[in-house]
Amino acid sequence: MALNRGWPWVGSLAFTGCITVVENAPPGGGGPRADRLDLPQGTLELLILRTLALEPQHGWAISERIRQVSSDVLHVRQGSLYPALHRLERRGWISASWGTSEHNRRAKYYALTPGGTRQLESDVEAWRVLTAAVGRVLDAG
Amino acid sequence: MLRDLRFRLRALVRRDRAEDDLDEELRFHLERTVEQHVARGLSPREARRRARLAFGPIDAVKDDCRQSWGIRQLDVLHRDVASALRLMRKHPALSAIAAVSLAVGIGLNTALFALVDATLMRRLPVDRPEQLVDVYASETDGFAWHGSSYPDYVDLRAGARALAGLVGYAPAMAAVGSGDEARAMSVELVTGDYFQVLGVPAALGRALSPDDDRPGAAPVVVISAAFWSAAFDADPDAVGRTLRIGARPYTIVGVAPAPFGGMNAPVLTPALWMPVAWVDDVQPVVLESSRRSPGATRLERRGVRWMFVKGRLREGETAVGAAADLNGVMRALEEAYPGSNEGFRVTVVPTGDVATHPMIEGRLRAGAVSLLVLMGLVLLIVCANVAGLLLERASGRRREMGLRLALGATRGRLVRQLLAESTVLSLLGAAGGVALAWGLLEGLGAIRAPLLVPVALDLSLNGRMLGLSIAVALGAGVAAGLMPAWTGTRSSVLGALAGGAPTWSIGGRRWSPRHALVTIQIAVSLVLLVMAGLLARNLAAASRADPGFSPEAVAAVTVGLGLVGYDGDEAARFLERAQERVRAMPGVQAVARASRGPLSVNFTRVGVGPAEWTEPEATTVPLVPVEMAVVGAGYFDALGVPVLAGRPFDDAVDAADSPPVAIVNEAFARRFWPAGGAVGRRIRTGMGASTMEVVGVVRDYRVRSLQEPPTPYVHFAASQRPGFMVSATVLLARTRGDADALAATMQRELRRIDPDVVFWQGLTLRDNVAAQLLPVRLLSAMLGAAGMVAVWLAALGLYGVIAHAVVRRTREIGIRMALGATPRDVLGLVARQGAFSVAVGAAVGAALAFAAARATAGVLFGVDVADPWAWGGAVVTLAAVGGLAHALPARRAVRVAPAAALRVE
Repeated sequence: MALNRGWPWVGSLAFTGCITVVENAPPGGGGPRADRLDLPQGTLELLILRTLALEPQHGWAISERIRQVSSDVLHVRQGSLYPALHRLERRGWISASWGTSEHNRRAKYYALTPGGTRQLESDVEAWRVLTAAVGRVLDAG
Repeated sequence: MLRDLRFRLRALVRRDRAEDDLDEELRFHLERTVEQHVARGLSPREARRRARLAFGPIDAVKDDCRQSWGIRQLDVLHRDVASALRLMRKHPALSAIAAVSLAVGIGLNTALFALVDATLMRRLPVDRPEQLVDVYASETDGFAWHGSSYPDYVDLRAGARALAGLVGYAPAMAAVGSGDEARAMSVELVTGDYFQVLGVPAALGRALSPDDDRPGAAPVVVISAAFWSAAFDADPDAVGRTLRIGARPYTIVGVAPAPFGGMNAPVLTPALWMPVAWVDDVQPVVLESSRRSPGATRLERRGVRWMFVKGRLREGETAVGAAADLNGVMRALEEAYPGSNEGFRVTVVPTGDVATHPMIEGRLRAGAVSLLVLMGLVLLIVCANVAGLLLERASGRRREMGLRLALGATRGRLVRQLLAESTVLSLLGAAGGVALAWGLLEGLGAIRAPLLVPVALDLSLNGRMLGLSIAVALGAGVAAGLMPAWTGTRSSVLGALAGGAPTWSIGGRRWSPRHALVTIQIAVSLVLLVMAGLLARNLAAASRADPGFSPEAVAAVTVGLGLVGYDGDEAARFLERAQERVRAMPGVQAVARASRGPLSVNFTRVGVGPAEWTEPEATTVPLVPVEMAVVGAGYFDALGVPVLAGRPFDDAVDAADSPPVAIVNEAFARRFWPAGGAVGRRIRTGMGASTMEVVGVVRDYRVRSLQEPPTPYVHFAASQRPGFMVSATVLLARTRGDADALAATMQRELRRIDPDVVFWQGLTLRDNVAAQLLPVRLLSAMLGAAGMVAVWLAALGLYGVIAHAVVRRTREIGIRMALGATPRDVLGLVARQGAFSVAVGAAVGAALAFAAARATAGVLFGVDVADPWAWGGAVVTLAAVGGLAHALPARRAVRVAPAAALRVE
């Protein structure tokens, strides 16, 4: 039951549209043709924690980074990003502080706390186990 | 969990800051997106549009963020409270009445509970107090609650297998300190194993040990934490210093832990504990005892039972087992020492069962319980009434509730809002109640009781009390708010919007729950009013009661000479000089010394019988215990007690070597010589072999209490018994001026004769009388307050019912008036609304009040159970209040204009 500890959503199978997955993104931009796909709740949190594991960042940079690293596939909706950030902060997995952005403006920076680091490790592990299991089921034909 | 709470609290408390931060964070995000678009070549305007589009509805995002903070519930609560406060401002009179009712109900209950808590519910701050038992020596056919003598204690301790330990202790007064700093202080004489058996380690230094209690041991004491702070500023170096007690320096070896106040706290909280080996230092007088036993001191005499004894049960043992054990020892002692121990056994009572003394505990507890029940009833009425008021208001908001239900508010939400309202009310009530309780307790604490020592009753409102009153308030709020909230939101949407008849209207026309409520209120308030009236009458009767002496303008300064090492002769010389000086003071009319003043807490009895009784009477008829006092010349003048026959004492005539004399009161003379002619007769006493001549008879006066019937009382001459003038001698002085001022002057003057002399609380005889009346006064005031509250609430309830009925029947009244009914008819109509409730309530209340008065007839002195003033006062008050409750709605009904009435609704 290691899964349940890290992934509260596994039991409830609650899904929510927190990330827009852009399939077959047209190379020239011109606005994404957004076929929205719901991902399991908790995925966004996992991505945020993973992103912050590199370095403290503000919200905009987090969403940008997720977009870039996912090769423009995952677009985090701002309407989901900030509530998630605040939720993580309340749980004590990330901490927030005001700093100066790269453009010399005040911005709220989030950083991983020790508790967040532990959480990230167990979440990544759980994700791996889950996706591998789901993959095996799908591949079993 | 804790972090989560902290986060939420910060979000809630620093709400503005959190909102600003959120604004700035989201703005930053938008601006960065715009910049990015502009960098890609879009026009600033298009860039802004796209950024906003991508972002979504900003307010919704903000709301989601707020939800992440976990304070939405609190937000809703905040809104509910705000709306409750708004409503209360809209109906200030009604809200004030409700809040003040709650405050009085909660305040009375809290104060009473604090009082009960301080007296009856305390537990000794010792190790495993549940194992402790009290051991009393009991006469098999007599008084069951004697203490123990020291030799008995030693033997009991050796022979009690069921006990892990047995300690003896005795409260005493001692002169502590020297010179101007000398004070009479409460101390506790304890056996050496006291601290070990109780399991109380010293906070500083060491506790007393059995070695300190052996003959020849160095004089040592352990001081209390309070005394350590007061006298030594809590200086750790106090341990090792010496302290003069009486005439001897004692070494302080330790400080007791702060909560520990000895075995008789809070009434007698000792400043220090000293080994019983030194008992003769502080209590040099050998008490007269009706039981003969050899020995010179208390440590040797088996017949002087002066110590309290507590034992600690072994694991698994019971008080019954311990009693069997100890009684085996007692039987052996009876055999060995019949003179002192014949007919003596022990009674063993678990300490936890008795907070005060077995003799009074039962009565105290019964009194406390009945008072708590009474106050609980008042609180219940308060709740019922506040519920009624809220119900009335809820009915006025039917349309609003219906509208909100129609607009989709859930019923739970509305109930919660209404409950928030009553809870806010009750918390306001709690605040007022705590303030009231505080005031009551302060007032109680400020009363100067004429006891020899200050009583350190801890009447402060501690956290437990505050918690209790808040719990009571919340309970009351919910209880009072639930019914109105439930019924108030039950309206069908359509009916409420149409403004039609309330679907929640309760009961039938005549006998609704509200009528029943009013009936009960009237009954209870009548009971309380009658009881308060009877007590007030009792108080008046007692205040008017002739104590037989005139207490006005008599100073009564009590001085402890034995405490500073005086023997009988030294005390006599000191008192002689003191009387001379006081007699010379301006305005002083008479001065006398006495071993006790009337109505003080000092009781001494002696066995007395007529000397002319001959065999077999003299041996078969035991001496009769009679109240006694040893008094000097001028005593009866100072008190204002007339000598009816014979003569008063005369120091010169009744010298130490003259034939011993006594003066008795009328009751004494009647008791022993019903045929008369007491003067010249002889009596024998338990104080010695020689008989005494009765030289005078004085008029009866009250000695122990104002309520006592004439009681035999015997006086002996101070000049012949100087030994009695040592322990606590009262100097009485009648003045033409102010007794309080004279008492202060007397104390100064006595200090001038000997600066080491110590006083008990300096008082006047007036104070003694006031202290006698104190319990009745307190009870009367409390019942009176409760009664007034109950009447007031009953009036409100009555008013509510009648007003409600008048409003409901406005149309009917209008039609009647249009058809020719006179205002008189209308008034009759209104009167009938409440008359039935009032009549039934008054009848039930009268029956209950009569039963209650009969039950308490024992404490009512000089007042008939059917006292016309008390009953008349209660009935008139109730009638007046009932009339007032009718008058306002009636006036409104009479003024109904028929045309307007028909348009109602």
